[in-house]
Amino acid sequence: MSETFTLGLFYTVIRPEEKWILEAAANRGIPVERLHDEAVTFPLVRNGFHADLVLNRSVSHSRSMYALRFFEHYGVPTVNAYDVVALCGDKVLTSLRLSEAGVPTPETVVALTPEAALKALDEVGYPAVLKPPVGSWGRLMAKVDDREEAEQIIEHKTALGSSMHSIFYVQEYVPKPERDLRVLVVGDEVVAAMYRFSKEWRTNAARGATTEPLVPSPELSELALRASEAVGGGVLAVDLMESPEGLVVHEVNHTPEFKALSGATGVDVASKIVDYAAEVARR
Amino acid sequence: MTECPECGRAIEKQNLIEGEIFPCPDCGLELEVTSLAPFRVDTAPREAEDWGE
Ligand SMILES: Nc1ncnc2c1ncn2[C@@H]1O[C@H](COP(=O)(O)OP(=O)(O)OP(=O)(O)O)[C@@H](O)[C@H]1O
Ligand SMILES: [Zn+2]
Repeated sequence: MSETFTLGLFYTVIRPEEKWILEAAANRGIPVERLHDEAVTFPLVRNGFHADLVLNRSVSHSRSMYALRFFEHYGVPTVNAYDVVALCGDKVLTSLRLSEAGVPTPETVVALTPEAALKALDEVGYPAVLKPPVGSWGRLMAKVDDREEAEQIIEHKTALGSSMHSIFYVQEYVPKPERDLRVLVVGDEVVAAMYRFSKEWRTNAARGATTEPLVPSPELSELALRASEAVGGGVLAVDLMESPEGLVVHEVNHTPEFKALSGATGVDVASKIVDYAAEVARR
Repeated sequence: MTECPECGRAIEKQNLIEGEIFPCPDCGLELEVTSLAPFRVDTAPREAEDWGE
């Protein structure tokens, strides 16, 4: 890379992922401006920061949303783009977009009140899965086995009171093997993929799933690329399940963790991300 | 050198960088490097409801 640019790193904490990104940038002679999401202020007129492109690694969805919109406003490109994060950060919007793009995804019904949620669960049938529209790491997700359980869970969620808890994202329970698939897409390239195994129905690495590298089949790669393209592209982790009818995409992660993926596959994901960011900055 | 706010274990700077999080080798509590000079650590920020990937 000949012409250097300054990479802005918008972050909450420095995890191994962010440390590797900083190292990858240093190895390429790319100066990094660290932008701590707890400290940065955003005036309406750009003032006092130098980054030519901002790589978003903040773990906070709400901080990411506003920050990315400000960077866009300042004319600074970001990875990922505001629209992509807005979409992927919301499971309702993601399902809609995947469906519009013809990407196979589990049957999903959204309800806007507790009463309608019971109806939605009946429509989807039991067992079903109830997820918060915004949220990650398998948090606050529930497998609902029957109507009695449905009533209890909905009552509990309603008691939590916040408006986001009164939006109900109801999904068919996919009887998958004890694993799911994660494919990391950077730009138009499938960079690495792995299985996540768990005895529990949730296979999030954050919940202690074990991982195994996976050589993506042409079908899997094609599907992951289509899902990535459907949400606008960038650095994205596409999560899929093996349903009896074939592969389904259940979510696309906009700020993927990749410690487990790099560990399982030996792929230097951080370098791929930094090179991609440099490429976007040159456009 | 500083110590874990939870268990008092001595924490060395080693090659930690500012903002880095790591578990206390003794009690396992997630710590964050809040400053390098002087070297300081504190409990890592608590996960909020909208945190994730
Ligand atoms: N409809 C479903 N049927 C069966 N299992 C599911 C279903 N949806 C999700 N799971 C399991 O639960 C895990 C977490 O689901 P999902 O990815 O939707 O939640 P999340 O909190 O956004 O996780 P993350 O963002 O960390 O990937 C998945 O990895 C999958 O193993
Ligand atoms: Zn300790």
